[in-house]
Amino acid sequence: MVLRHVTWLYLWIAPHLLLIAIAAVMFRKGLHRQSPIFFCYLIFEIATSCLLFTLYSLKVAVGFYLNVDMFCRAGSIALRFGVFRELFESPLSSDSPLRRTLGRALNWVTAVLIALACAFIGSLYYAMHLHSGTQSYAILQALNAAQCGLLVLLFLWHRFLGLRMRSFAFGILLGMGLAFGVDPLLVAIKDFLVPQQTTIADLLDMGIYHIAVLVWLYYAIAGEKTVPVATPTPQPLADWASEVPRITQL
Amino acid sequence: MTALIILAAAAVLFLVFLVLQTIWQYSGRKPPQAAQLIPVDLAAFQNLIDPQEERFLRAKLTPSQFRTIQRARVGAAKLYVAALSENAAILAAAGQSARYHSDPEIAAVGLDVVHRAIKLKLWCILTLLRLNGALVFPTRLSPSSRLADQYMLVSSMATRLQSRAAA
Repeated sequence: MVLRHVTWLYLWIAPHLLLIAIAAVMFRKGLHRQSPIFFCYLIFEIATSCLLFTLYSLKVAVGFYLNVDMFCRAGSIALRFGVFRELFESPLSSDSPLRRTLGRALNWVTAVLIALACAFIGSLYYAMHLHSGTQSYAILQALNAAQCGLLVLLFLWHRFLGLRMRSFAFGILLGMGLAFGVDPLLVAIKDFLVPQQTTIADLLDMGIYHIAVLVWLYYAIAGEKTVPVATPTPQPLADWASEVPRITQL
Repeated sequence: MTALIILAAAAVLFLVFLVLQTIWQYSGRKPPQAAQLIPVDLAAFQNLIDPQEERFLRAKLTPSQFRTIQRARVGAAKLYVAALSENAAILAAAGQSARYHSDPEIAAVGLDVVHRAIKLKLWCILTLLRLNGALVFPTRLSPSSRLADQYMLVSSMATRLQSRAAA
């Protein structure tokens, strides 16, 4: 029992301490300028975890704690939408008109994904007759599911364009996918289990988040070194030029 | 229980997708080569989507003949657009490689190539949508010739990239 509590405390505190380390590495390497919204997301996560831990330590009323937790989760989800937008627009860093146009298209895609995710999660959770405590989290889980869809689209978007993602951007997406991809499933499992057994699902949830944070830390430290980028030399570029008339045949 | 199984299957599929993306990110893809570009006869493509040519055919043929011919022309134009789309992805990858060149001027041109190649790729998608519409309604929708102009622009960017690197 003590071991379980210690593990639980570790999995709550350690990832958020690592988030501080990630923010520090990002700041030192100038990555906060490349991914400012992700940097804000890290700061928000650190601040909200401090707030929630303080409330937990002060043993405030459960209802009040859950309300604050809901607010924090909603803020996190909103910031994650911003992070996805930032990563979507990253190949078009200095082309404002195209970025605006594609940004509008992304808004529409996001709206459609949210509607689909609400229908999907809503129908599944409704079929499971969740208890009222879990029902209030259903909309957040639907948004989580929509973000998973958005994440898949982001990977496909880069693949469609034929572009290799920046290493850190890839790490951000991978970590988010790990952290929140299995959330709807874990909430459903928690509801399925008797209250005494939900601690294991909680530990699993927190463990996965810990792994995601380690992924972010790894990619923040590794930087772009992990993906060697081929720089064209004059000879291949000469080949390019000689091929242009062949391509166009004009 | 069924709902749990569906959620578990969705989670597993999602995790498999993440694994595949990681493999793809670290696969030993070589930088694009010029020879990988698919040759596109732009003159023939422009002829296929030329509004004047379409007007001429519309005037000379019966409506049913025109529909048949126009569908064949649109089908051929789609093949050209698919080739241009493939080339745009190769040009974007080449531009991305140049973005990290030690010479800032070449890096700037590389970035420009990436942006223009992305625009070309998006133009290809929009044109394909329009061509699909033209296949269904050959007398109502006509292809646009703006795509060929976009492609010429990106091709000339590749030439500029070479000349700056050689200088």
